[in-house]
Amino acid sequence: MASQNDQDLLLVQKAKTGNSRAFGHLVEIYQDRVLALVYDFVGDYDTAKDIAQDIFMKIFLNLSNFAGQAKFSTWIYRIVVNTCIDYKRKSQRSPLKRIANTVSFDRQKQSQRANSREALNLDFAINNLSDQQRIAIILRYYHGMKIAQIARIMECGTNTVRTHIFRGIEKLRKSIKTINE
Amino acid sequence: MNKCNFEIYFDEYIRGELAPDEDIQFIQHLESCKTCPESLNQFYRLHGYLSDRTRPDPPATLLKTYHNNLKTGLLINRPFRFVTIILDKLFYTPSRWVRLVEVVVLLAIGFGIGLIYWNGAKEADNIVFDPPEYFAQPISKVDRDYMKYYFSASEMILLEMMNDDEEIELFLTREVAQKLLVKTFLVHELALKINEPDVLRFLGKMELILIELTNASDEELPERIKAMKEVIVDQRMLDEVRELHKILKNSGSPGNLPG
Repeated sequence: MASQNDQDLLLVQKAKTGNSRAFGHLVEIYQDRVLALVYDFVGDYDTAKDIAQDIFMKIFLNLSNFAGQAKFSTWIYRIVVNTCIDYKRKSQRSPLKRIANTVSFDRQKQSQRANSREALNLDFAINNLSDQQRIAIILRYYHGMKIAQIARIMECGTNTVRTHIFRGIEKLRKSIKTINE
Repeated sequence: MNKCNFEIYFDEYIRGELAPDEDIQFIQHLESCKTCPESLNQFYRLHGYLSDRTRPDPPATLLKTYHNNLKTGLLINRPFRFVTIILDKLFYTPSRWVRLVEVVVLLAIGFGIGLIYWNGAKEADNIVFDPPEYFAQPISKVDRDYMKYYFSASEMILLEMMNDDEEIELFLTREVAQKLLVKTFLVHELALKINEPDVLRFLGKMELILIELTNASDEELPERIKAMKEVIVDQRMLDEVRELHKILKNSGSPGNLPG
């Protein structure tokens, strides 16, 4: 039985030749995963939807650059991560946008998990981590990826990923302690 | 805070993802390290929070819009999609043999179409360059028969005129000459068509004789016939008409007339 990556590669080969149906399959396979990952980064489904659409447009336009050296899923996640980092940097350039994002993030979390103070604090704290720490923790804890896979997505070593996770969690612990106090 | 190199393995240790030798090494370190057990305990609590975290489902309307936007935005959901699907199945099949068969079938269809056009073109060529009988032969069979009849009648008249017998039927000869004169014009046209100088020359002489016969009154007729006899002999018209008649009779085509 063909693995997910084999199926992906077959679909990619077809999509590269202009087969829209094959690309449609790829979109169907990854559309919900990408939306979820973007949501974990931005904390807002409306924004996540727009970013995810941009991501698929990037995938569509850059499909010919995919050489097949890495897994297709890794390639997609790398695009997602880079796009989310770009989005965050752009949004932080404008103080108004930053405040709006924070308010939006908080309101959504309050409405969705008003009964979970720890969860609210956790999401807020994660939002304040460095990009690398946030990526590593989200991929590891929210998407259940292995350290090696995260390393491939982040294009760094496995020990670097382990360090990002540990330091990120230490920072979270301190942030939550401060919030609770 | 004291730093320990083993801290980065907390996550994998809690998940049980360390290799057996790494696991033993880590446990041995925990027993000896002063900071790691407490640090691991705190890490474990956060690990629990993060692992228990659940992502809220996206609103249904948003999800539907998102899926539709992807389909329409990336031209996946195109009009006539069923045609695309059929074409995709035909041309993007992963099987090399199916593709080979497709190529062979397409070539066969192309060859068939080419053959049909080729034959059609050949037939068209035949139509264009294979002229009907009356073009291949300057005059039709009917016209040739008509000319044969004319020469036969001309021969008969000439023989009648050359006859010295007293019982010659002059009036009958004149009547036939009148009818033949009418036919001369048509035979002349046919002769022009085949462009035979001998025929035209004979027709010119024959026409004059027929006109003389037709215009002569009852009294003038014997004298005129007598005068024309000399012309017929001088011009060897009888020989000429027989020769023409013979050629027309034996030949399918007046194109073989002597030139």
